[in-house]
Parts: sequence; structure tokens; C-alpha cells
Amino acid sequence: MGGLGPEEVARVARLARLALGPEEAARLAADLEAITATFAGLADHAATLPPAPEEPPGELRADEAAAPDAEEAAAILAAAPRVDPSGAVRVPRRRGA
Amino acid sequence: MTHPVEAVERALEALGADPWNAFLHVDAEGARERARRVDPAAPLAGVVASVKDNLAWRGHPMTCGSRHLAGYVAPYTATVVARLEAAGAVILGKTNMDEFAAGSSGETSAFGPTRNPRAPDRVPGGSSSGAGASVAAGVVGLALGSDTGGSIRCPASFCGAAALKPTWGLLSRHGLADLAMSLEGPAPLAPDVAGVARAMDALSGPGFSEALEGAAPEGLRVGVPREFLEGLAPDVERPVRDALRKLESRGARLVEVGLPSARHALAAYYVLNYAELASAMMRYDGLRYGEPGPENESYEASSAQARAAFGPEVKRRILLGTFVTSREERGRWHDAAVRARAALARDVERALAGVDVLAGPTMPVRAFRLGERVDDPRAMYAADVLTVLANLARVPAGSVPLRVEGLPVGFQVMGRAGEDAGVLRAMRVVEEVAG
Repeated sequence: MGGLGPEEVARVARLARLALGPEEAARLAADLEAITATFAGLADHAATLPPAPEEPPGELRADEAAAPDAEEAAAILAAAPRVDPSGAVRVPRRRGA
Repeated sequence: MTHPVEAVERALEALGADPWNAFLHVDAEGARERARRVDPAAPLAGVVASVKDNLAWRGHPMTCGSRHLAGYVAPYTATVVARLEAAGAVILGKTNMDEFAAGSSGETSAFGPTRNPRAPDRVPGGSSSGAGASVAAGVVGLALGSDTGGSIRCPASFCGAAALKPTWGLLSRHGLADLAMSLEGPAPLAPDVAGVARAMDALSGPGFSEALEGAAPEGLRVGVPREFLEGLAPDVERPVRDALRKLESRGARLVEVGLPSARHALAAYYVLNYAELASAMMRYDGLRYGEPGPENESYEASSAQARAAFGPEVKRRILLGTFVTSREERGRWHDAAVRARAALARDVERALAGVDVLAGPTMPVRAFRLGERVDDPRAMYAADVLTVLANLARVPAGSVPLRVEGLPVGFQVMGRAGEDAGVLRAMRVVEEVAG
């Protein structure tokens, strides 16, 4: 399983918002390399299996991908919280509330 | 029934100076006060209980075993804790645990490792380490912990107690700090199966104690997955095979079954655990929760510094969770784990089709020495190989101690989702025949 050297660990640490010292980063790089090597057979095993019912489909379904029409978009924006000039967050009241 | 006030005094005497580091917070005066108010007719009157430190108990500290939450006080009470109190249990305090439940030995707590009362140079098992120790030391009669991949069954096995990981979703998770939400749930541990059943009566609703009445081995169909008996330490394999033979000789029917996906269970479990933990830990940024990072920095830089307070195992899991869910790696790791989990759940369902329960050892080894595995994550993870299956399949599983010389050995019973009472009934049979 390559690609888990110190540079990759530094990149993942930035994504994970973890500040690591050099020694800690080196130790974690070694751990990550060893652990991913141990679990490397998982992908090959999964390739032999049918998709799971809850498995992410990999791409959006048509109904998820469809953009809201103008009326829906206006309703969504109207209900969204916003910051007024004083800096306070204002949450619009729901109709009838 | 021991009077609740007397029970609290006995518990405090047994605890002494807590040489096992089982508790992170003891509320002695509060326990005395609450004991005076217990209705003597309440079902758990006279029971002193401990609560794992990842369950909220209003007005009391809640650290999840992490320096990050030192000083945090829970603003409300978890539903399961409230139910124990409503049933008459008196809560003595909050128990030690692996930091954010990320551990299998009780050694990753920021507040020091827990020791096994049965052998103080050994681990009590984790992550509900203080739960196991508080019962094994005779301090409390009931411990409420949680189980993500074996976190209640491992301490039960290593400390010689009984415990149940209920069907996922059976017990409320309200007030349980997230580690891996699709895998974990609250879980009780007690000296014996009857104690676990009484706890379940309070936590879920009546019927569990009743299910133990008349429990007998005759006619019990026990599936024994051949994978459960592979790679065991000899001092675990021997008593487990003896227990199976005793069950058979007393009229249970043993059926060999297979769980072909089981050899990938550990990988699937840990990949999902990493992914869910990394997500759950994002809230500990020093603003919403946790010790604040430096001022006058960007949010990203400040929270990254704040998050440096996590211990090594939590950092390891956050990094791996971020890695396995990254755009480039997600398909190879996270999605593969989801698929493997579904296959395993189908295997478990098939294996249970013709039997009442599945059975085998809880842990592949007896309690190991403190420090023996803590720097070797792969060796630590390997200890969970038999317990993660139930969490992946979301089915109930319990551990009951066998009658052995030396360090305790736990015998695991798994059942169909929703048949928790049946699992407890089978555990009672094992307790009677081989416990």
C-alpha cells in the first residue's frame, strides 16, 4: 500500500486539523503504513461481493442531482439564517410561527 | 436486599483509595444522599452502580477519558443513566475508560491506565475498563458501559464478569458521547447474568429477568462458527471447548457453522471505526468542546493546536479515518468496508438460521500484561477479532465467565437482532453448566 510517507501524512493531518510534531508525524506514518498493509485485502474481498444496500452509489441519484427550480431556490434562501449589519445571526421565522 | 445506605457505605469501603484507577470521579456524599431517598420497593434498590465516563450524568464531570474534556460538566443526564436511577440504583461515580473509547485494554485513558483487580499487573480490557474493574473489585454490583467493538465484553472476559452488548438501537444513545455511531451503544456489566438481566429490565423494559426462568441446556441449538475456534491461545481454547462439551453432554445440540466473511471483519470494523471516529471528533475543536487553542490564529490553526491534546491512539484513528474517507481512497477503503459489513451481516443471519445462538470465546487471549501491546496497534486490534462481528451485524452478544483456574476466560453468546432475552437465557445456561 504505498503513498503513506511523511508528506502524505502531513497532507492528511492538515485535512484532519491535527498539528503534529516531526517525531509524532514520523511515528504515525509508520503506523499508518503498517495498518493499511494489514488491512490491504479488504478491497479485493469487497470486489467479490454485491453492493451493500446502504452503500453510497458513487454518483448522485437523479432526484438528488436535480437543481431546485426558481421557486424552491427562493424558499430555501428565504429560510436560510443570515448575519445582519450588527453581526447578529438572524433566523427567519417559519410561516405561521 | 441490602439497604441502599448500607450498600453505598460498603461500596466506598471496597473502593478505598481505588488502587485500580477504576474511577475518574466519585460522588460519595451525593451517593449517600441519593441512597437515603431510594424507594425500598424499587427494582434496583440496594444496587450501587458505576457509569462509564462517556455517558452524561447531569452536574458531574464527563471527560471520556480525554484531557481534552478535563473540567467539562455534563449539562443533562443520559436516558440510560436516568433509567437506572429511576429503577432505584445509586450511582457512585464515573469510571475510567480508553480515551474516547478508542482502545481495547484500558491503557489509553489520559488519566492513567486501569488495573485488573483479578491481577493488578494485567489490563482489565477496554474500552469500559473501569466498568469491568469496578465490578471485579466488588465495589459496585452493576456497571453501565458501552460497546463499540467489544468494549463491554472484553472487560467482562478479562475481569470475570457477565455483560451484554444489546442489539444496536435497543437502548437509547441519548447522552452517550459519539465514537462510532453505527457500531456503538450503552451496555451493562454485572457479576452474573441475573444482574445483567435486571439491568436490562430497567434500561429497556421488563422481560429479561423473566427470560432466565427455567433456562436449561436441553434442546438448546448452539451454532459454533469454526472461525471462532481458530487462532486462540491454548489457555482459552481448552476451557471453551470444555464448555461446549459440557453443554452437549447436558442436552444442547452443537452445530458447526461457517462465517466466511469473518476473516475480513477486523479490517471492515476498523475502517468504519476510523471513519466514524474522525467525523465524531471534529467537534472537539477547542471552541465547541475541548481546551481552546491559541488566540489570534485562524480557526484552522487554533483548532489544530487544540486538537494536539488528543492521545496517540485517537490521533492515529483520526488520521486513518480522514485517509480512508478522502476522495482518492474512499472507494478502496470505506466503501469496501460497508460492502464487507453487509456480507458479514448476511453470514451471521445465515449461520443463525437453524440454531438459537452462536457461541465461542469472547477474546482470543486472557488478560495480557499492562504495556504489552499498547505501542503495537495491530496487536491491540487483533484482540478484538471475535467481538467486532456482533457490532458489524448489529446483533446482541454477551460474555459469561467460565469456571477456570487463573485469569478469567469469557464465553461469548450471539443471537438474532432483537432476541437479546434469548441471548441472556443461553448465557444463563452456560453460567449454570460451565460457569
